[in-house]
Amino acid sequence: MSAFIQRVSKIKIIISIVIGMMISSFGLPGLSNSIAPDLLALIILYWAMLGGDSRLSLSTVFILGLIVDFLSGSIVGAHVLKYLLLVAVAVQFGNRFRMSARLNRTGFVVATVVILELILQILVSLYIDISMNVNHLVVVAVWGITWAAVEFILQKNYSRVNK
Amino acid sequence: MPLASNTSKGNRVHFYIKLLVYSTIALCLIFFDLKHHTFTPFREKITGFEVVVNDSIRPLKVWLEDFSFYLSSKVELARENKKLKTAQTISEVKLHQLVSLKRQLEKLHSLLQLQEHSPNGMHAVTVIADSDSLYDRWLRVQFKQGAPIKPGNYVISTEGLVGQVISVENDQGFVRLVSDKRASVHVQVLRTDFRAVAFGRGHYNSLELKFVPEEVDIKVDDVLITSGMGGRYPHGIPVGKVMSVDTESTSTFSRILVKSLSNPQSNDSFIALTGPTGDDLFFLDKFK
Repeated sequence: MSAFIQRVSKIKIIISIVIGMMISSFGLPGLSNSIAPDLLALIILYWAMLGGDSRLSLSTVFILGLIVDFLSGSIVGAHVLKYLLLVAVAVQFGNRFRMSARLNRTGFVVATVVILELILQILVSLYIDISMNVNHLVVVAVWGITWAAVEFILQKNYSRVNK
Repeated sequence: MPLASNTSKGNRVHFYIKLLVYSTIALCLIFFDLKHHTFTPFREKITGFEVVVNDSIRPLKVWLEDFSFYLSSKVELARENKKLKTAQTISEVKLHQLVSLKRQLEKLHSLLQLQEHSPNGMHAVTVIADSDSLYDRWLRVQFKQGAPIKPGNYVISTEGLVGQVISVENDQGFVRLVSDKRASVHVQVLRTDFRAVAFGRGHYNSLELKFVPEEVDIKVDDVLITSGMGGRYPHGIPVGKVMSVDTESTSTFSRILVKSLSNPQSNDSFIALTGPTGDDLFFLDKFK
């Protein structure tokens, strides 16, 4: 089944981004920060792929990344770069992504987030002496599988009245 | 700026230039953070701010915890209350059952005392069914197999006359109550010894004295007993109490309504009069 560009309200986008930002910055209760999901990455990717006219601008994505970096205490610029690259992927592969099956889309998202995480780890290892964290890559891949759930929740029309 | 991928080539180039600029800034931020720790003071300030925020919202957290404790204790109380109410209902039901049992025992004891007058002329019967019709007032009773109960026998309770046996089949009998539309009893006013015939009205426990002239001395609360006329049942069995005397509505006779003293119910026990019992079955002085 393919997903098409939809017309969505700004409020829905803002609410989803605020929730995603809180989870990405502060993690989930009962989960350590090392295995906490980067939900905002999935939400940005969703709106970049399927948001239609309501897509996020690059400036917004940049600011969101900075906020998450400062609030989560991670390397400043890491989330910014990750989110910018996600938007670039969305622009490049958006059409093909929208027309593909749900399973393929999930596979694509898992591959994308894992590759981006790998790129970031390589980038960081260039500046400081740090070894590759394979466990973190696995965690990122596992959270990438939740794309189907994210897509389902964001796709659903919650409004009771058709405007 | 929208990120539409299928827009014109110019827009796409513009988008990638912007992406390149932002990515470069991001890379610079990473470089400065990792190599020169440029953002460490800023991050410390944010951490301090987080501590302040945590401190300021602590009372709210405490209040929320207290509130959730209050809610949970309230829920627990409601649950306990419900349990106690259920237990109370069960004990009330048991109490009612005990009271009913006690009443039944008292009735049976009174019946036993009544039967002592003539052990051969009286036989116990137990109600197994009753009518739900307004006009046909009857009871189906059961008695000991072989008891000499015949159609025509009168059935009495400790309060007074109940009815008459109409038919018998094996160990069961069909009793027509005195309040049945087709029932009639020769009665006598205990106070004045005036004799008349009481007819069943079909209503629950209600009879009517018919053909009583207006000038006859009869008052509300007068007790009617069997007159013993005809010789089929003894004299002096209480039948009912006068409820109303209406002398204005009719020209010749009074309209006198009587309420039967016996109150037959399911699972009650009565006595069928099958032989001579004497006229001193009931102590009538208490009605005078």
